Amino acid sequence: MFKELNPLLHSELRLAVMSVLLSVESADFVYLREQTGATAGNLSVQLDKLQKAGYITIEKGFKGKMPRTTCAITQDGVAAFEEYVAALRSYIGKGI
Amino acid sequence: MEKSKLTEAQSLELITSMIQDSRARLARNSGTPFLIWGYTTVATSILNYVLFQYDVRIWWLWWLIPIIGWIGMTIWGKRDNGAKNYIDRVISIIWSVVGISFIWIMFAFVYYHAPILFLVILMAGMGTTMTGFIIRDRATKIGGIVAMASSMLFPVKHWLMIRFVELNDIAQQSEWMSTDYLLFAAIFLFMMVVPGHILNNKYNGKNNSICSKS
Repeated sequence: MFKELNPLLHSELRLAVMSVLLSVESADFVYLREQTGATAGNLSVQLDKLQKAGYITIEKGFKGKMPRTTCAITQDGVAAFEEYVAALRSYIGKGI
Repeated sequence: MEKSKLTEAQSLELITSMIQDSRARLARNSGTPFLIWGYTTVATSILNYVLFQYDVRIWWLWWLIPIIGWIGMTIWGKRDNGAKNYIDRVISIIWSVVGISFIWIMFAFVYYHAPILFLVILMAGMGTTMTGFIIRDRATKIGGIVAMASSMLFPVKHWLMIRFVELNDIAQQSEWMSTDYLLFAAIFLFMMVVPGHILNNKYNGKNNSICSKS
């Protein structure tokens, strides 16, 4: 029996964002946009979805006089990501 | 990007590439602080040695190392990539502690005649070795370990001087001791300059954008 893939994570941009955030403690919006190659509008929408699911935190602040949005993965986010990877492996391991 | 359908294999590939790209980006210019402190120390040591040969002894010239090093770090050393990671934080803590110990060593040198070159090489060697193990870089590990081992050359050299140099011959003693500066420069060259170039060469210039893959 295959595990169901988390639909929230099984999307290219959201998965890319979660992968980046997993490799750092926190990252700002510009860093995520540059790493994923997404547009600002699309990234903003996907970040909002991930935040509503409790997978990431978003903090708005300032760096000097410039506004800065900083994102970090939560423990729930890490757990969901691990579960997603385990599900992927079960698919690939069984030749699908 | 949002609407594209991912296969399971593509998902795994995406995860792997994003993590690798992010790590590679954060490692960019990681050798620059080594180059700033390494070249500054090597140049200052050689300058002191040359001046010593002309009987010019300006002790405060050693302060050029923290002054130029600090200016260099302010201009070129900051690596705000827009993300914070655990490795950068740990390395930053290690070098902050080592930096504070340098101030202690300088006070101990002035008021207690502590062997400053030996202690600086030992502490910097420890910092470099720990950094090398944390970032898993062979050149940095080797540079640090060799520097720690080489720090013992100073007490050995001092022991040889006491044994073979006439203690009353101040000129000969000074000549003997001035070569410590060259030794100091050579160790820093191997401990920081070489690993610094290797690190920058290893991590700089990689294309990290996912755009190139889609």
